[in-house]
Amino acid sequence: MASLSRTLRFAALIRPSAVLSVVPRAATVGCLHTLTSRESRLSNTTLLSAITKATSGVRSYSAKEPLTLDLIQQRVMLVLKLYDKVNPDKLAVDSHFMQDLGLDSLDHVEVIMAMEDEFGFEIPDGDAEKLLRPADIIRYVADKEDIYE
Amino acid sequence: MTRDYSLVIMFMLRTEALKLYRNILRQLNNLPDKEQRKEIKDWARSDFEAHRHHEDENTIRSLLYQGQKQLEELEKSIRRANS
Repeated sequence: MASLSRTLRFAALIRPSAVLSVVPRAATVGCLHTLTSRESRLSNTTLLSAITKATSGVRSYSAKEPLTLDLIQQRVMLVLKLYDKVNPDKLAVDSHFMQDLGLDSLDHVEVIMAMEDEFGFEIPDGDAEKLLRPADIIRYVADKEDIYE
Repeated sequence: MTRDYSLVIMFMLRTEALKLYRNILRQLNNLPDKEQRKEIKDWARSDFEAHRHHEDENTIRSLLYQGQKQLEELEKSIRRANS
């Protein structure tokens, strides 16, 4: 009995169908077997499905995560919230950096640089000086990344 | 009329100063050490703040020129540090 359970435990590590062929169908052993094989089958399939999900699917060339307007907004607002000179209570999508949030032009330069770091592309000076609200930045990034909704 | 002209000049100088600040920050991205980056950024910011109040065109121009020279030095030393 002990050796049987030992073989069963070892066999449960291998694929369940292999276990079925090896272990004789005694009632108690059968119960134990279905329990362990169910949970190992479960872990096998979830592992397998995780692998297939990760490797198959859409081709990702220079893989950037898919952007949506909502995601851009979340990221822009997060960067602004993390900026220590911004008061998060006053921050809204259409708050003006200088008039509502009390930032100055040097802070504005720092904010735009932070946005460049976040989204991975450079914003030229001419465009940067026009981006005076988070809403402007969101629209600008969406334009640059060709996202329309 | 001379007053309007000087407003335009001040605007141009302000744009130049902001460009200088932006170039300094961009150059700092080439510095791998984050601590140093923050140090130099704060130092540059405090320099800009110290000279915020100037009204005279020539003072501002000479300060911008000095700033540009310091940026070039920064560029050289970063390149040397990275090579």
